Amino acid sequence: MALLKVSNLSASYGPIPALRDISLEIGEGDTLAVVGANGAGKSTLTLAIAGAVRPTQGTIEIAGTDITGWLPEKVAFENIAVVPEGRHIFDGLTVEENLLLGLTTRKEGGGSAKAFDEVYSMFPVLQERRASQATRLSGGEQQQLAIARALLSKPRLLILDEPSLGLAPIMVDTVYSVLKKLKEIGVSMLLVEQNPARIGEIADHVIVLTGGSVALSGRPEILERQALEDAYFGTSKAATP
Amino acid sequence: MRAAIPTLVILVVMILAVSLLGVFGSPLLLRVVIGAMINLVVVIGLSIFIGNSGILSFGHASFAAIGAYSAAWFTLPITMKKIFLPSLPAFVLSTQVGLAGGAAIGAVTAAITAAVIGVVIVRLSGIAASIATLAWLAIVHSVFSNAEALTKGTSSLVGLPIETNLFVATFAAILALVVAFLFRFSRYGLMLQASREDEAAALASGIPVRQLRLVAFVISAAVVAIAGVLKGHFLGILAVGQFYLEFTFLSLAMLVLGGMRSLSGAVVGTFAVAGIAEILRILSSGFEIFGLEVVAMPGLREIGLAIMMLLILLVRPMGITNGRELTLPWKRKTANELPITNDRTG
Amino acid sequence: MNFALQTAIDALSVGSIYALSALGIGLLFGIMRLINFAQSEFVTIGIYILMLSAGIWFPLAALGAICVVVVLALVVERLAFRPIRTADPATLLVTSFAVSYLLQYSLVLIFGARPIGLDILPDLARPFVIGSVRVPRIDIATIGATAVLLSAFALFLRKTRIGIEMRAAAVDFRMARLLGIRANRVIAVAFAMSGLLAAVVAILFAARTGVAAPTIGLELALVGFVATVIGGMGSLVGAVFGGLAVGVVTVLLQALLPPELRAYREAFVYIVVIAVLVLRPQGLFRGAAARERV
Repeated sequence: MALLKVSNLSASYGPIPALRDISLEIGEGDTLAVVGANGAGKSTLTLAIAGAVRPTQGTIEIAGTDITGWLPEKVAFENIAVVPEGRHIFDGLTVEENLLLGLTTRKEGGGSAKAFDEVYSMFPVLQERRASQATRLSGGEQQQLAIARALLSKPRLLILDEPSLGLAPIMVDTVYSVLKKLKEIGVSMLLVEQNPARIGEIADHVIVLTGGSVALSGRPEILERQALEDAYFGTSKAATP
Repeated sequence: MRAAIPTLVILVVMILAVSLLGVFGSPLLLRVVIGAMINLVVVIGLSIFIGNSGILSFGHASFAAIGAYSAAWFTLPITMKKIFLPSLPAFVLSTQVGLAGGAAIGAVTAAITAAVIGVVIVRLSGIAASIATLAWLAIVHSVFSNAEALTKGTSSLVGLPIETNLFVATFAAILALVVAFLFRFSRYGLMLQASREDEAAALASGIPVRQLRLVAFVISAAVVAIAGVLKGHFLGILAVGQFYLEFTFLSLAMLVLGGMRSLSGAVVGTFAVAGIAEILRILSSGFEIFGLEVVAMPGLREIGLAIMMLLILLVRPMGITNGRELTLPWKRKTANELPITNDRTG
Repeated sequence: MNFALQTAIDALSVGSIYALSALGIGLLFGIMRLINFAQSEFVTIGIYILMLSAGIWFPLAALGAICVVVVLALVVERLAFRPIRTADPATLLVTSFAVSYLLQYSLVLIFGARPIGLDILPDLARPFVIGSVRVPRIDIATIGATAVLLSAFALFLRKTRIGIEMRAAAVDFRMARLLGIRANRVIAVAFAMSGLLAAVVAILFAARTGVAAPTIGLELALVGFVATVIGGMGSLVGAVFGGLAVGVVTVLLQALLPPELRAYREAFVYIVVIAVLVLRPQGLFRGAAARERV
């Protein structure tokens, strides 16, 4: 059974459709990359899966449980963690307090020290700066914090919306080495990313969104120039695999 | 604009129909209808600014007050003026004009004041702008409550000629509607509405958002001022307290209940609240049921009104019209507006 | 010198009441973008409860007022605001208007519109006399109670899990929910706390003014909104300092304005408010980087 199964999902902002009839699956331990132009519906898709945007049609299942229309806080308790676009670090809270909120959905109380140790070993800079105001961190450090916060909930599915956006190349390397480690230990991921090289490093499958629907899907190799252009401009007959 | 003309016709017909109730009803109902028409002028005036710019204003009661008092300085009979407001300037003391002149004076005074304070307010956006209008209302209230020489302070100013009749009130309501309609569907109105949905994008595409907001603010202040003038000359008495928080609350409530993003909302909301308030007034003024006498209780009407409002908002959070314009059924596609979801993206 | 000291204490005391009012409003504003006009009636009803419990041992009466107002705040949240939580801010605002109107006229229905005198803690009316300085005890009590309450509040927000959740929700409600923080619980706690703050304001205000009237809380709520916004929206510390600032400005104007202008004090206060909004739209106590989220 797929970990995440999205069937015929549509969503809209008022009368403006943002997602049309999207279906996708992510298997246990798999990574799905989502590609598309600005306004193609990538962020809406991540938010719809997380419960923050209410779909108008279709279903979302997580390990066989239908979570369509659930409140975001309830979805979070299904061990789905989100690193949204723009990171959304809490202003006015320290690094440690931000991380603490990542533990909200953890049932066991005692494991929190160990969980903190784990993420601190993964992101040493966060330990160094744990008492600082989180918004004082650099962009790259904030991205690490956002990912670390999501990891503390021990997610089955990690949703990342453009984690490399606006980061220096060396920071992107750091972020991706972490994502690869996560993949090794079997975390499933839905990754919104624009850089084909990065997708090639990590993704098992790719979907390309245009105008809110899936234009193309398949192995990461489909992101080679010609196929992509065809999908963007709608000239390909192979657009539906 | 042409596509929206059926809407204008429907709304005018609605206003005339309500007005007819006043013609054929009891004297008491006549007063209620006139009151509703005056309220309608206020709410339409509010919607010129709020509906187009998307900024909530808590400050328009101040323009009703400014209009009402500045008109009264000129319409009060000269003999009374000399007794009640002896320290008015000599030329004011020696002039007397009719209701139309008073309305013009009130509208112009309010428009000038609005232009001055508006320059400050349109620099702000969102909640900061709303709070600035609230602060402005508090300033005007404080000044008017203490300026004995101009307003008789906390006591009432009496003796205004009672010249607001059903015809005048209905005429004013239709006039306000037409002004609002013309502005809303003008190039400027449409540009301002674009800024309501996305201020940054509107600015980026060269729309002078601040200037347009200011224009809307001034026009809406003038319309609300006329309502203030009519109110004074309907009741024959002015008190500063008439134009403060309760005025603000009720007029905003009418707008939001009807649907604040459409003109139809302003009309429907005003008449709905007036209708509910009238029914509640009849019920709460004491009546007999099955031989039991239910006595009048102060406050009951307002409680009922508040409960009705809460229920309406519960069922239709976007207002009775859901932010759309009323139109002929076969034209519905073209005149609809986009309802806006409250999506709190970071 | 004595005048300056007395004015300073007065300013701090008025500022304290305003700070508590602003915190109650800022809490709800930060979390759900609600400008809660009904906060005014939370205070007013607290004062009426104190009036009704005249003759009862004061701590018990105070506890009674706190319980009633907290329960009222929770009921209002559940019945009026929860069903429309995701609605437009204007709808939320008018809902709060309607709740305020409902409660206000319920008081009119029960107690009449006329002000009623009450006398809680008459001892507080007498001043301390230290040398030539006369300090009203009520001022000292107000400042002391505010200091204690704000410290307790700060501890709660910093050290408890729900406190941290509330601070997070106040700056970014959706992200908080994505992390699994329960919206209903956070909002209910916020309402309960704003009820608690309103009740404390009621006690301090009633002891100071000695009057219960259906509209007595209005001015406090008004100051609260203004203070929240000039303090910096979404910032609870900003709300507290915003309230304090409005109080201090009010008292200073009272002391420094020429007598013929004193009646217009309010107008001057609000002129200062507009000036602050224009000069620092992001609020007095927030960094320039923090922008309003809508």
